[in-house]
Amino acid sequence: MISAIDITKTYTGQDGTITALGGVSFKVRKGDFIAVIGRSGTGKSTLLGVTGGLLKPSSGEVFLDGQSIWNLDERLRAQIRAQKIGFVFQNASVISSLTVLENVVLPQSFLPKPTTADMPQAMNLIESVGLGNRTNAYPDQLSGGEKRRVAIASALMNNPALLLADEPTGDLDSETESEIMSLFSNLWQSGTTIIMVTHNQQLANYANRIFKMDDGLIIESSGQNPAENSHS
Amino acid sequence: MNGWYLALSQIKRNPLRSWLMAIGIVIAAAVMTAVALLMAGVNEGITNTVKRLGADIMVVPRGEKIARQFNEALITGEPATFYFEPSTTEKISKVPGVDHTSNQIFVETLTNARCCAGKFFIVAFNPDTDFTVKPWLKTDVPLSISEMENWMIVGDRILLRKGTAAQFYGTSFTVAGVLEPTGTGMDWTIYISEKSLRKMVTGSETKAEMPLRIQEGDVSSILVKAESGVDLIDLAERIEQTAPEIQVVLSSTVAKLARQQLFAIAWVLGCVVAGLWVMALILSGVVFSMAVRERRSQIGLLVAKGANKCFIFGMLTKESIMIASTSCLSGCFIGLLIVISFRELLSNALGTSDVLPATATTGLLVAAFSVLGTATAVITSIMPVIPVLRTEPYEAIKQGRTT
Repeated sequence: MISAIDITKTYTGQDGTITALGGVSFKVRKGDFIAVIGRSGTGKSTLLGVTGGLLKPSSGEVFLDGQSIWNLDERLRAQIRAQKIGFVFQNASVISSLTVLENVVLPQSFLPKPTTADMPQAMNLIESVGLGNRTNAYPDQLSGGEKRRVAIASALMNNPALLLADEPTGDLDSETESEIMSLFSNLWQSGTTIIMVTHNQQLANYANRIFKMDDGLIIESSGQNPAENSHS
Repeated sequence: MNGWYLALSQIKRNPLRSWLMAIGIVIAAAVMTAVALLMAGVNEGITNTVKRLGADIMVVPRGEKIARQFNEALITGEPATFYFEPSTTEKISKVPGVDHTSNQIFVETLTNARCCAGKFFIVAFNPDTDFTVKPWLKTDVPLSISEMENWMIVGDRILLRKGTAAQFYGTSFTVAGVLEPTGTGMDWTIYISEKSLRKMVTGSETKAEMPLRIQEGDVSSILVKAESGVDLIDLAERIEQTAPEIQVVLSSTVAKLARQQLFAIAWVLGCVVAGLWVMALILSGVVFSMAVRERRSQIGLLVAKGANKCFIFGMLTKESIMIASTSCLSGCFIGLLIVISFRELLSNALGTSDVLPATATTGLLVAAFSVLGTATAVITSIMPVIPVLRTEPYEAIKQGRTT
C-alpha cells in the first residue's frame, strides 16, 4: 500500500544543517497496524508527515497505491489526502470554530466531487466514539479525550484506507488512552491500515509491526503479516 | 461546508478579534465618508452659489489692491471701500453683449462708535435694477421694502432678524429680510437701498461721530448680466476697453477663490483622514495576521483533511472580506448618517448653503468608499498572511497550540 524509498529530510538553520530523516525506506502492506517508536527527536513525526503528504522530503519517493505522492501537484496531493488518508494529531485535533458534528462532516467538503453532507454516517461515527450526546458542542466545551475522539471520527469520515496518527494519546490520562487505543484496534480489525507514532512502548503492543527509529533512521523493524495479527 | 461557512464560523466564534479588526475600519470609514461628503457638499454649494450669483461679470476700479479687497469682500464679507465715476455705468451698459447692469455702493461702518451698531460691510443697491441680492431672499420672509422706511436686508451670518433695528452713521435701519446662506461674503453683508444710503450720508454730517463721504453717483462695483450666448471673456475684454480706470472680475474667479479656501481645509482634513485610514488598516492587518498565525495549526489541520492552499487562501480572504465589507459599509453609513443628522449645524458652521451633495453624488461617494475601503482592508489583511500559507502544513500543526 505504501512504499517509501530512501527518504531524507534536512533542515538548514542557524546551527547548520540538521538531518531529521537520513535515508529511510520501508513498505506498509494493506491492513498493517504499524507503531513507530523511538525517543523524542528521532524523526518519527517527520516520517509520518512525509508519508502523509504534509511535509516535503529533501529527497526520496513515497508511493501510495503505486502513485508517487510527491510528484503530484499540490491540488492532487490534497485530493489524495481527502480521499485516502485520515489524520489524528496530538497538537491539532479539531477546528475550534466548528461543532462536533461540523468537525466530523468537514472532510467531505474536500472530496473531488463534494456531495451533500452524509449526516447519518457522521452521526454513526460520533456514536461509535461515544459522543452521541455532544453533537452540537464546541471543542472548548469538550475534554482532551473527547476532542481526540472527535478527531478520530473526523479522520474516518471519508472512509480512508490509511489512518496516520501522531501521538494520539499523548496528553491523555490512562483511562482515556485505553479507550482511544480500543478505537484504533477496532478500526484495524475492520481493515483500516494504521501508522501510529508513539514514544510509549506499551501502546506499540497494539500494532502488528513496530518500526524503531533513532537518529533519523529505522534501526529495527519487527512484526508479522496483518493476516497473522493476534488482535484479529 | 464551503469557505464562506468556515470563514463565518471563525468570525462568530471569535467576536472580540472580529470587533478589534472592525472597529478601526468603522471609525475611519465613517470619518472618511463624512469628510468627503462635506467637501463634496461644500464644493457643490460653491457651484450653486456662483450659478445663483446672477452677475456674469463684475466691474470695479482698476488696481491690484482694489481687486484683492473686492475678492475678500465677496468671499469673506470683509468691508471694502472704493468708488469710480458715475459715467462708467453708462459706458458699460452700452457695450455690445451686455444685457443689463446694476450698481452697488460699498460702505464700511464705524467700529466703537455710538452712532454705529458695529463694524459691518454695507452694500447699497437699487432694488429696481438689482438681479443679485433679491434671488437670495428667504422665501418665507416676504419682502415689504416698498412699505418700509430705511429697510435693510441682512446676510445669514449677521445676528439680526426680521423686524430688529440697528443704527449706522446715526441712521436707524430695520431688517426687512434675511438672505439664504450662500457660503460667500454675502452672508456677512448688510444690503440697503441707494435712497437710504443718500439719507445716511446726509444724516451722518450731524448724527455720526465721523461723517460718511460718498459723492452723489459714486459707484463701487457694476454687476453685469451678459446676453445669452455671449462669450464672457470677449465681453470682459470689451468692457475693459471702454474705460482705462476699470477692471473686470468674472464670476468664475469668485468660485475659484472660494474653492482655494475650501482646498486648504480639504487638504488638512484629507491628510488627517488618510492617516486615520492607514492606522485602521495597520490595526486590522496586525489583528488579522496575529489571528491567522495563532490558527496555524488549524490551517495545517484543514490541509491534512484535504484542503488545498487555494482553498485556505480563499477562506482567509473571505473572512477578511466579510469583516472589511461589513465594517466599511457600516462606517460609510454612519458617516452619511452623521452628515444628515447634523446637516443644518454643519451648514451653519461652515457658512455654506448645504453640506450634503446631490443624492447621486452621495450614493456614488458612499459606494466608492465602501468598495475601495473593503479592497484596501482586505489586501492589507491578506498580505501578512501569505508567509503563513507557505509554511509546511506539518510544521504548522507541530508549531500550533493544542486544540
